Amino acid sequence: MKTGTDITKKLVFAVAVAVVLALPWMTGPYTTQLFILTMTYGMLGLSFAFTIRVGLPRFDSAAWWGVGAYTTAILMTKADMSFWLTLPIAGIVSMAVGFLIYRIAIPRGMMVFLMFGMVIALAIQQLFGSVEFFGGWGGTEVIEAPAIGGLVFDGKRELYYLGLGFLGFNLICYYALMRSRIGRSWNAIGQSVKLASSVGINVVRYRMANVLISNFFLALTGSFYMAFSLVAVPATFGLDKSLNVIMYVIIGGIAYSLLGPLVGALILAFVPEYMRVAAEYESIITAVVIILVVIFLPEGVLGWVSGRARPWLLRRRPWVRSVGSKNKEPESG
Amino acid sequence: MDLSLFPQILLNGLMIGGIYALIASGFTLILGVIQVFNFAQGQFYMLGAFIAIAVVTNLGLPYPVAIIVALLATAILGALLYFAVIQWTTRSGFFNTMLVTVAFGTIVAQTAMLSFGSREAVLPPVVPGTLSLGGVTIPNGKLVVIAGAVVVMAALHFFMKTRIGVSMLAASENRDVASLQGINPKRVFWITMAVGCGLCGVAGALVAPVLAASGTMGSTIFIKALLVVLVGGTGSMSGALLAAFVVGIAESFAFHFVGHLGLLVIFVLVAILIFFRPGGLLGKPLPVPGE
Amino acid sequence: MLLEIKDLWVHYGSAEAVRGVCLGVGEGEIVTLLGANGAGKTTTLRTISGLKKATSGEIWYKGERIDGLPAHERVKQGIAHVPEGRQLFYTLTVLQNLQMGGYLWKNRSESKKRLEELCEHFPNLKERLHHQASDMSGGEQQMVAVARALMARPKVLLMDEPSLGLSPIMVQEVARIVEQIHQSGVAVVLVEQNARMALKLAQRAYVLEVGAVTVSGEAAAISKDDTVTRAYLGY
Repeated sequence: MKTGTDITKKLVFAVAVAVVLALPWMTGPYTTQLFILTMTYGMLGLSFAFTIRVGLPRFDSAAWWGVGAYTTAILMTKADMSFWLTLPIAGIVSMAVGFLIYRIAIPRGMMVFLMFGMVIALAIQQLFGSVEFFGGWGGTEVIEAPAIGGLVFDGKRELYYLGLGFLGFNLICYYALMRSRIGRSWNAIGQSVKLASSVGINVVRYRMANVLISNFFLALTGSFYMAFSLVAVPATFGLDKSLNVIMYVIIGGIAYSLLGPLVGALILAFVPEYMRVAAEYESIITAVVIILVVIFLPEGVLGWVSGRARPWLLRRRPWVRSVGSKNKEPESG
Repeated sequence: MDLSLFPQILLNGLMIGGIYALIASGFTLILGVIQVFNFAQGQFYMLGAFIAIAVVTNLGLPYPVAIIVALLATAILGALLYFAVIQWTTRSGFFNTMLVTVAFGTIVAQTAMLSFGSREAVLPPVVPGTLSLGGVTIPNGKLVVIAGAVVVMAALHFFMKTRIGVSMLAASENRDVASLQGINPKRVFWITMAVGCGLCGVAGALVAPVLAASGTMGSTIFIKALLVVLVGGTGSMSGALLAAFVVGIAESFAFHFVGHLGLLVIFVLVAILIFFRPGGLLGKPLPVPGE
Repeated sequence: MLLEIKDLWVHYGSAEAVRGVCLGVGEGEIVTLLGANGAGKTTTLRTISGLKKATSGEIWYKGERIDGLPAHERVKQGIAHVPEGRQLFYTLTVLQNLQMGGYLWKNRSESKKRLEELCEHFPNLKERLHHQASDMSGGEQQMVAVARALMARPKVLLMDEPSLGLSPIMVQEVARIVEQIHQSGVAVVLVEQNARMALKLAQRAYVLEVGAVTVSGEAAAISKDDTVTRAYLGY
């Protein structure tokens, strides 16, 4: 039996990889563009799902995404740097600035972190918009598409594969981190801060490491965003985008820290596209859907599917629970 | 520095401080009693402003009536938010409930924009003219806002001393024991939502004759109300009140001197404050849900 | 019987806390539940007052089934509960605590009258009405908790470990108050660690072991029962 399911599992995986690789040839440029956006949003969702594992919901993911995009844009236009060189710099800038800010917020616990995040989201957006150096509210543009040797990433297909590369890097790193020793400490913190600190885990330091890693990947996603949008506008990186990122994670299923954000982003990118409703009603419908999902599928689409699918197809990752959920069962007397 | 502008800036600060006080205390009340992070708070503020404008300009009713209509409408909507949504999601955790308030806020904001239009709107001044005080001219409209905010805060203070108000505090401290006294927790919760959201509606109605109302006014003010809560100490009503005026006045001066960067200046100041005083101005601990 | 419980089962998750308990409380009677820690005494009280939902079984009060009612409705019917460890509203004053106990009095003068009556029974409360509940000593807090429960004029008072952590003098005081409540015609269900005191006060007693009733009967008879005295009275 066991070998049988193993083969099926491998087969499913192979078919999935083949479909993902062949997608740009099966669809038109518009749909490919949608897939590129889905990957971008999926990567943002991954960063959110990553910090939620230490019990910290971040409402500033779009802001750090913007930091990455702006770093790349500024370095490419003002310092004439190559796209690839700006990637690590963007990550480091995002981590360094994040460190200064989170030194204040993280020791104060989840609630302050959460509110701080919202304020940061607004403050960073204001910074990009009102400082002339960043190009003002009109934003800043880059002209050059990234290239390796003769391969220029300027068409939709090339960008799709570039996005796959970024996404794959994200997934591998997150997976490795979760499986590592530090990942186990993060899980402990996510389950109970009190318990974790009682077994000697330095909660503040571990949370800081987690958030800064998330910051790094957010900035990287920002650089990738510059590669296909070629323009950074402050309005893109507002609080509403951070909220959307959270929606992806919740719709996908907050307990599925790798697959959940991707599924959520896919659903929220494509479903409105095919619903063909007037733009004014789109956000209302999305909001209603989110309310319904939280009430009726509190574990997200994946949680709902895995309750029905065969266990080998989607293995639940039980180490993440929704933040602040209380299991207050009094002791029996 | 032009000293003659000083009283004007101070007055502006007091005015926005009063508005922050209403929104932040509504937020703190809901967070403290129901343990819900109500993200829709800012949208109720926007709704209050638009309702007041509609009542005055479309129905031709006097402004005080408009304030009461705005209060009732937002309070009812707040109670509806509890009955339709929050009571079903509190079981699945703090974070899910918070997201649902985000979604509800979006619905409110979008519906308001569709029905009131997305252009900016403003009421004609209610009490036109100015007041001259020792060579300083003060527009009456701003005084009305400050007076209104003070009256509402006083009313809230007395409300919290009544049987219902005390039962809200009791339920926030120990839900089980409160129900052993015959207090229906659900009833307390929806009343808290109604009061907390109604406070925002009143705030919106109060500023309608002074500031232009727009579809985006809600989200910005909410973030600033969060700043106020951070400065005042999470969960402290009196702290929020004090912080509201401190932030309001500081913001007013900062905007006067550095324009749009004012918000960044305020943010840095708040960050420094929280670094040195984790519990906010009044130095209270943080009784917060989660963790 | 004023209050009757039939075949009550209660679970915490998959763990059984109460296994088929049957008990009855007559009008104006003192009934005590004895048993070791974790025997299910507190859970039984919490299920009677509605804080915990029973898995199965029936709770009858004045000839009506009340197990479907939420806790605040049961208070209205006349069942008051003094929870374990007192659990006052510590952010409120003593007076506000008592007012919350009288929450169901819609009529202000009714509530005031009841408050004055109770101040006579609890003389040391009177001068401390405006103190913060958290400033009171353990014994005083227990008095406030009992007075708060009595504000609603209950027919049945559930008391969970009222003497826990109190000085011997205060324990005497608690015993006196329980006796007084009994005298005023209120039935009392008393859960106590101090089995000797409980058996002296009560008319009838139930002994719980691992969630089930093992011995029950007249308190006077039980205090002579060998196995019980050895286990709970320490002879």
